[in-house]
Amino acid sequence: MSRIIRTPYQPGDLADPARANADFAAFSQPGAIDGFNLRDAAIDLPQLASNIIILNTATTEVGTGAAGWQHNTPNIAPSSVVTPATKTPLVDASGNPTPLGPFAWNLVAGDVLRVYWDLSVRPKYAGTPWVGNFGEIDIQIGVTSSSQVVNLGGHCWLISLQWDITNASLTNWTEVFGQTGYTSAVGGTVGGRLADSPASVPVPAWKLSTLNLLNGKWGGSSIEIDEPTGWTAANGAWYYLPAGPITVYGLRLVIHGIYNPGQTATENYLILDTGVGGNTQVLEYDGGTLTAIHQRTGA
Amino acid sequence: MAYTPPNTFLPGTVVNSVQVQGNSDALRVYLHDGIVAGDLLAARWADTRHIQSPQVDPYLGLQHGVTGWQGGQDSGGPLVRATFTTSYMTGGKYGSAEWIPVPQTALRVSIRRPMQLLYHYRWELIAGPDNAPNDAPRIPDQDERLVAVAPYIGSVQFPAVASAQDTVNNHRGWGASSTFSPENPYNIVGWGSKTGTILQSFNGIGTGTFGLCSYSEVDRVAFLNWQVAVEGYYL
Repeated sequence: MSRIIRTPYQPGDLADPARANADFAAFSQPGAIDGFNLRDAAIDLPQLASNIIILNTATTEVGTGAAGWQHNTPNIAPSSVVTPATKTPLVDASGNPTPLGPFAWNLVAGDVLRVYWDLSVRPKYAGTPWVGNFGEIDIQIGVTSSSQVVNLGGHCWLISLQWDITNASLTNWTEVFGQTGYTSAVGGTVGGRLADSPASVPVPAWKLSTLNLLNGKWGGSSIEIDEPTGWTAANGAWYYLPAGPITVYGLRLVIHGIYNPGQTATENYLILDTGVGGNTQVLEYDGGTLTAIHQRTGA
Repeated sequence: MAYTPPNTFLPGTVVNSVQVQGNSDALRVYLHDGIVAGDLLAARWADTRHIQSPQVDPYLGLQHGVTGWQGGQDSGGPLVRATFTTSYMTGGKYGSAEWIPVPQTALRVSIRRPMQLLYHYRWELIAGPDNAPNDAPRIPDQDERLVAVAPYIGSVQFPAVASAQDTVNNHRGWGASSTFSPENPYNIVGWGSKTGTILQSFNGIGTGTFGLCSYSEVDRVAFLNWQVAVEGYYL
């Protein structure tokens, strides 16, 4: 859009034909009061970006999908008895992997990748695998000097998000940005910092309670009881703001465990407890969904 | 229509006042009346993909604009708008698999263009205790009785069962010394706090309905907290 700004005539100015022509011609194109200047450019449509906010979306059923909601034939993810934990990718009822992809989403700075997932799970165990393993503490019995050993019951499975940023073959899975692989040596085993666990969801392996505690002391008449978790669900969300160009070809969920809370002098960890692992400690899972959305956040 | 001066002045000639006045008169006419019909586009040039009328629904907490739909509603805090489900309505104890709506937890929005929409939901519930006798296979064992909650889009006839999430019955039953409370508190068993997000594409105009539905094998299930929200973007 244009504005016509001309120097006004002053007393004593000569009647210069060239100037008179220029003054009148100024009202001609491109300064015309016409459809372009009054309608199109006046509203400055060229200044409105035509790009949409959503660039890519994808969603898929994972695990046994919709068919598994009644838990008739759940899948099984094993627990680890060696370090590091084996990460079990989700498969359908026929054993086929259920990743989200392949696609090729080109993320650049100013974009955001948002991922959401949920999964039906049921931790299974036999006996009291927590006895003698991580998380045990002594509780004083009454006013005596003797004590009762109980477990804090913090053992958990993890469901973690992985991506393939190598190619569309979906054979180069790695932990997503900022997510630890729980392979750092810590406490005589391996684990990862809680601060590096933005794309992992814990599932309690069992529920332990001591109903007879009083003022932090053992009441003496009731023992530690365990409560099966039963069918429940884990759900998570993860956001990624790339600092530079990156191509994402696929996403998937993996199950691994069993972990226990641990700490050093400065950090909180989840550490792998191979002592509670075994054939009878498994995580059953059925259906869920994995959804990703690639959006533009800037111009 | 552009302005064209009717008179042009030449060097070495007298600048005629009539010609100057003629140019000025023509300019005056142009400035006042120069926008002829041809300069105005008769056909629509800005349509709904450029501008969407804003709309705010304070009751549902929804806002609509050029970008799409945003907003939702919740229970307003613990027990403010608690809701429920029950096996007595789903028939879950008797071999039926009837999904029923969770009362109050639905939104309806007008979809005016193709849209990608994220439906976010959350609930916190307590299930049971339900220690009614089991009668397999029609009535599951106490510790196997579940309440499943799932989102639905469009109609409760189409629950997104792949996104169903379960909570187990508070299966220790009622207290041995007092039947006014469960044997085990809900922080041990029978409590479920779940959340989820699903994606839905709309290829045309219409109405989108989003809600929560349930399939319960447990007698009494109370939703203490819940939230449903949409985040939709026009394409």
